[in-house]
Amino acid sequence: MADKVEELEEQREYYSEGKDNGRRYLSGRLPLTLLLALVLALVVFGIFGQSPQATNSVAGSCEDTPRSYPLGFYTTCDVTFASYVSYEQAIHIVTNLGLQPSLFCPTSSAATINGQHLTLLTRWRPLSQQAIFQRWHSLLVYLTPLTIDDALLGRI
Amino acid sequence: MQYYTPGVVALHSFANLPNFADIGYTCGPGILRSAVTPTTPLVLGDGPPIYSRVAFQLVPYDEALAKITNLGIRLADPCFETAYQTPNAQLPPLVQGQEAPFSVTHTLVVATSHAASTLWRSQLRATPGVSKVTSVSASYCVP
Repeated sequence: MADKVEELEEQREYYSEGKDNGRRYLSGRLPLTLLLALVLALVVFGIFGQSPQATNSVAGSCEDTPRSYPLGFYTTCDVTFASYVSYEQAIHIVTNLGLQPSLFCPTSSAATINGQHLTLLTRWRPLSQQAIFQRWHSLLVYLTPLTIDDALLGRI
Repeated sequence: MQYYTPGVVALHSFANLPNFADIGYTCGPGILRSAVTPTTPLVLGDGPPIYSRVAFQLVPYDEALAKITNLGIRLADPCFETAYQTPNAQLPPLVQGQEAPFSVTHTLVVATSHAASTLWRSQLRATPGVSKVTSVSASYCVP
């Protein structure tokens, strides 16, 4: 355990070097608004669930609040990168932090066709974010079981 | 505790981002269950992660990450993740990035996510540069 704490401290020191370069920080903690984000995500899910073709839903925030949630919970946030970071480098950076670039689609949606209420399954689409990255230099990411947070730090 | 990550400029919610549909980022169209064929990829959705090891041939690490990301597959640490689900279990060392082992083995240990396809395994196998996809067995975590 001591080794792990030491390793995390080293990691922290390493990442702190980025601050000296005038770069802003990536928080390892999440906001108290996570619950609100979840509610928002569910609302968005519900709204888009009415449409046969939904828009990728996005919700959440990633700043300075502990999180504690079960495996499978997902929230999304937006990470913006410096101009010199390429798309593939950006994926490398976030996955090194236990984050995963992703977009969320519901597994099914409700639709009314010819007066009939139907459940439609969602056809999968590739998840490349090249266009998003090209336009905003951002990636949409979600948390994975490998994301370090306060709950996790309390266990190691 | 805060981490400072070189290359990251900002981290914020999406409220200020425009509609992704404007640039074609919509979910796939809905399809009736009766119209689904064995080759229709559907959104996998929630469920326990399925762990695999993916071998690459002549593919750099960053490109391998982009390829699995495109399929809704994520890097995984099955030993850590399994232990984390067990209350009071001793946690093994956490592995996030896999650059070092990849440079030796040219493999990634991955897991499905909610955003993967129901056909993720065949999609992975059909991905250029992927040479093999194998299941991660229960003995994987035994030291």
